[in-house]
Amino acid sequence: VLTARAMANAYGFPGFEYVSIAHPVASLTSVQISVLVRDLLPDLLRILGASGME
Amino acid sequence: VFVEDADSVRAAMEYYADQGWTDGLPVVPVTESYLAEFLASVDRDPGDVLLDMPQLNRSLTVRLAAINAALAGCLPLYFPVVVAAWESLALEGYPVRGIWQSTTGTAPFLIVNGPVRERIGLNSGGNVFGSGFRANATIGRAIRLGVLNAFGLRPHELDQATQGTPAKYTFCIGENEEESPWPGLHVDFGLSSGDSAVTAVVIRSCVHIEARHTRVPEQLAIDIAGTISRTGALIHETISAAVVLSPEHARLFSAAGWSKDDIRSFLYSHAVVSWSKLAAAGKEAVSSRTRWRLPSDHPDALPVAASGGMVRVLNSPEAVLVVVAGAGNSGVSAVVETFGPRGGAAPVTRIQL
Repeated sequence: VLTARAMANAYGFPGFEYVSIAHPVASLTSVQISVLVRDLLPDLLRILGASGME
Repeated sequence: VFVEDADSVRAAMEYYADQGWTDGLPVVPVTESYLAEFLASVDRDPGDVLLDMPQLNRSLTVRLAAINAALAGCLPLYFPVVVAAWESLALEGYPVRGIWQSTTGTAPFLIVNGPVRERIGLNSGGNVFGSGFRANATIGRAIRLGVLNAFGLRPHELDQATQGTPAKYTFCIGENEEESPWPGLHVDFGLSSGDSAVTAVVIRSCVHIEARHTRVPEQLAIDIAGTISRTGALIHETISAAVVLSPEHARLFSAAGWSKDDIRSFLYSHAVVSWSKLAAAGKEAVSSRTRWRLPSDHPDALPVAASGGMVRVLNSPEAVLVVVAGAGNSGVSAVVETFGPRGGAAPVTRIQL
C-alpha cells in the first residue's frame, strides 16, 4: 500500500485510488483467483464510477 | 581536530540522516566546493543523464551521481569509476526495467578491471567480498545512495524487496588480474589490458564453494555446477552466474589447460538438475506467460514435453561470467547468482580517466 502511494506520488497523482489484495497470489488456483476478484470488484467499480453495474 | 569542528560535522551528519539521505550508516556532509572536485574529475556535463527510469519519472544526472558519491565517502579520485558503473548499469538493462522495485531484492555487483584498481587502492585480493577497503566500500555505496536518493527507491516505499541482500550496502570488487592465469574480464569483451573498466551486473546471492580437496579440474567444475543448479535459485526457467574463482582454483584449471571459455562450456553442460528433484520442489514446468518455474498442474504451465532425465539450468555458456578474485591462499571460490547476461555480451564499460 505504501508502494502504491509512492508510485502515485511519483507520477504526480497523490490522491490516486487503488484496490489491494492479500498475498500470496502467484501460488493460487484459478478458483481462488476468481474469489479474490469477486471480493474486490465492488471497490473497483466504485473507483471507476460504475457502482450499481455489478 | 578541533572539538567544535567535530560537533559541526556530527550535527551535519544527523541533519542528513533526518532528511533520509542515507542507507542507515552516517554519510559525509557535502559542500558545493567539495562537489566541484568530483565534477572536475570527469569530462562530463553535470546535467548529462547516466540512468533514466521512465517508470518512476526520474533520472540520475552526473551531478546527482557526484553528490551521492561524496555522501558515500568516495574520494573525488574514485568518481570516474562511479560514472562508468552507472553507465554499465544502464547497459545491463535490469535496473531500467524496474528490478529495484521488485520483491526479489537484488543489488548491483561491480567488477573493476585495469590499472585504476591500483590507482585508487581497490581490493582484489584477500577478503575481497568483505570490508576494510575504502574504494570497495564507498564506490558500491555511491550507487546504493543514488538509488535511494535520486530515484527514491527506499525500502517500504518504492523498493518492495521481501528480504533484500546485504550486498545492497556495497558490492564492488577488483579482479585479481595479477594472480590470474588469464586475461581480465574487460579483455574478454574487447578492451585492452591497459584500459580500466567496470562491469555491473544485477545479483541476488553470493554462495561460497569450499573445494580444497582436489587437483582434478572436472571435480572442481562439478562442485561449482552443483552450486549453480540449486533449485532455490530458479525463479525463471534458467539462471545465470558470475563464477568468482580464487587464484588457486584459477591456476588449477589453467594448469590443466582449461581456458575461461572451457569452464563456461563445461558448466553449461553440467549445471543440471534432475527432473524428479525439480518436480519434488514443484518447479518442473514453466509458465506460458512469464517463463517462471511452477508445478506442471498449474493452470499457466506449459505442457511438460518429457518427464525424467536431467534439466539444464543455464541457457548457454554465455550465461556464465568467469572472474578471478581473492587471495591465493586456499581452494575457496564463489558463485554470484546474477540476473544476466543469459547470452550476449556483459556490460563492460571503459572508465574515462
